[in-house]
Amino acid sequence: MRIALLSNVNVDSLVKRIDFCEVYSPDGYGIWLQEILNFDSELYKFHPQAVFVILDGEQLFPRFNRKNIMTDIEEYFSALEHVFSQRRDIFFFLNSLDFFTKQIRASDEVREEKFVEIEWYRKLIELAKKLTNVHILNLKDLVEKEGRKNFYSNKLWYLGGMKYSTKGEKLIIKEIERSIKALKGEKKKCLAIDLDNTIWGGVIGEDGIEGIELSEFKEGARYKDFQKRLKEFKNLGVILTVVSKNNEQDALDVFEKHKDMVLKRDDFALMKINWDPKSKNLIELAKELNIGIDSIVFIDDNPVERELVKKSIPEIIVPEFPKDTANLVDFAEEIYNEFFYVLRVTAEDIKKTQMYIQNAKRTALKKKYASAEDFLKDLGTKIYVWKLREEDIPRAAQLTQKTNQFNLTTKRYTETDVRNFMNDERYDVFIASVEDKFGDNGKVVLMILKKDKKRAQAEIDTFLMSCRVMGRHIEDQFIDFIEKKLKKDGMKLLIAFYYPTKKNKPVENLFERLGYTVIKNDNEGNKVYSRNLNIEEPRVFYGELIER
Amino acid sequence: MREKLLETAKQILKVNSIDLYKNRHDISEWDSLAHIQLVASIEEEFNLSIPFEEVANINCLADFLKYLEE
Repeated sequence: MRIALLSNVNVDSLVKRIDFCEVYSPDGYGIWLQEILNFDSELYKFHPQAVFVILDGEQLFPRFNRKNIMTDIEEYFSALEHVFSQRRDIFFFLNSLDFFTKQIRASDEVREEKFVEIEWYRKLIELAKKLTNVHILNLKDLVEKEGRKNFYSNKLWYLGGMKYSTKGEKLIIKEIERSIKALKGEKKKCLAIDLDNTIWGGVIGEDGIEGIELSEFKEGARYKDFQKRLKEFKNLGVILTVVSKNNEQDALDVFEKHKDMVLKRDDFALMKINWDPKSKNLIELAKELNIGIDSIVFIDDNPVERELVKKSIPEIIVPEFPKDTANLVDFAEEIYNEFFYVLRVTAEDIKKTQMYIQNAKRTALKKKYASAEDFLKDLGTKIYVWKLREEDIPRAAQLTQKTNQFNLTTKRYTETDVRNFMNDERYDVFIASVEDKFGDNGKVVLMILKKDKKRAQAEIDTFLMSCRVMGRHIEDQFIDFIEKKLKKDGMKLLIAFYYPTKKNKPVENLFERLGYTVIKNDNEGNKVYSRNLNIEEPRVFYGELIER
Repeated sequence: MREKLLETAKQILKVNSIDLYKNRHDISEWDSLAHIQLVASIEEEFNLSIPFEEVANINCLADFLKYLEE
C-alpha cells in the first residue's frame, strides 16, 4: 500500500519510522494544504491510496481569537471537503485536534481552546459521515490516554520543529498501521471464549452461582467490566462464541440466573459447553459457522488449554491471558485493536451474530426434513438482485476481501476499485441480498462482469457468495438471471474462470454443474469455461428472484 | 547499559554495527535528524534528561555515557 503523510509540523522522524508501506511526505511542512488542494502536486503524482493528515492545533491557529478560529475551521473544512469529495479514489485520514495553550492563566479564566477542539471534532464527524473515503484519526484520544506530557517533547520541538516524543510517534504509527490493516480488510471474524476464570471469577461447577466472582463493584467488577467490553465486540461485528469445559446446564444457569451477567445467551452465535477437547470444539465451531479456522481468536485463562489448542490447531490465534486480572479491560481493548479493528461499522456487521444464529436454526430445521429439496422449498428464499449503487460499495469491497470459500477468482478489491468498475461502462456489477423465513441475510452475492460488445461476449471477473447462504442453490438462480440479462444485452458467449486457492475447493466444479464447458485448464488447476448463451440450461430453482 | 545504548543507536541509525568512539560526522547515517532522534530515544529509554545546551556537543556514542552513569 502507498500512503502519504502530511502535517503542519516536522514529521520527518515519524516518516522515517514507517517500514510497513511506501510513504510520501513533502519536503517542508508549510505546504500541507497546497499539496492537498492542488491536484498537480507531488502528493497526487505519488498516487497514494491513503493520505494521513496530522495537524497540530497550536501551529494551525497561532494567534488565539476564538471567533477568528471558528471562521478558519469553517474554511478549512469546506476546502478539504471539496477536495476529498473529488478524490473518492483516495482514503483521507484527518486527525481530531489536540489544541492547548501554554498560557499561564487564572484559575477561573475561560479555557477558550476547549471550544475549538469540540468545533473541529464536530466538523470532522460531519465530514466523515458525508464521505465514505474520509476517516478520523483519533489523535486526541491517543494524547488523552498517554498524557500530554509524555506525548509531546519540548526538546524535540526546539531542536527540530518536531512535536511528538518518541513514545508519541510510536503511538501515532501504531494507529496508522491499524488503519491500513482495516482498509485492507485484514481482520479476524470470531472470538471464542472460555467461561470459568475468564468471564467470571471462579469455577461454576465448584463454586456455584452464588460463589463465582461477578458484580457491579469491587472484585467481581473485573469480570463484569470485561463482559461489557466483549458485548461491544459483538456490536462491532465480531461473532462471539463459547468454548468451555463444564456441565452445560451449570454454565447456562449462570447466563439465565446471575443478575450481573452482561453477556446473554443470544449474544453468542454458538456455545460449545462439554468435556470434549477444546480443539475438537473449535474445529466443529468453525465448521458449523462456516468460517475458516484461522479467523478465530481463542481466549482462555488456562495456559494448559491454550497450549493444547495452539499445538493441535496452529492457525488459531491464542493470545496470552493477563496475569493480573485487574487489566482485563485493557486486554479486551488490545485484542480488539490487534485482531478486530474496524474503521466503520456496516449494517451487516451489526446483524452478524443474529444472522449466524438464524443459520444455526436453519441447520436445525434441515434435519427435520426428509430431503434437502423439501427443506429448500420450505425456506421461502427471496433473492433480490440489483446493479451496484454508491451505497453498496463498502459492502461490495468487504465481500471481495473476506469471501474465501465460494469465490471463483478470489480477486481482492478496495472500495476505489469497486467504484471504478461501477463507473466503467465496460463493466457491470451486480449485488444480491437474500431473505428467507428466518430473516434477512443482507447483501451476500457479488458478480463483476466485463463486457466486450464488439465480440458479443462477457467475462466473469468475480463471482462470489458469502458462506452464510451456501448450499441453497442460490447461485443457480442468480447465474440464470445474469445469463438472460446478458443475452438481452446482445451477448452470445459467457466466459468464466476458476482459480484454485487453499479455501475455494467447494466451488471447484461449480461451473461444470451449471452446464459450462471447460475450454482450457492447466496443471495448477486453473480453468477457463465458456457457455453459449443461446442455449438454455434446464435448472431447478427453490426461491424467488426479484430484480430491484 | 552500554549494550542497551548500542542497541538503541543501531535501531535509530539503521546500521548493523557501531563503535562507541567513532565521531558522528564520520557516520553518514548519523545526520541531524538522526541526532535529534537519538537524543530523544536515549532520554526516554533511560529516563534521563540531557540539557538542551549540551545536545550539540555530543559527538560520539561514548558522550552519552556520562549521563547514563550519573
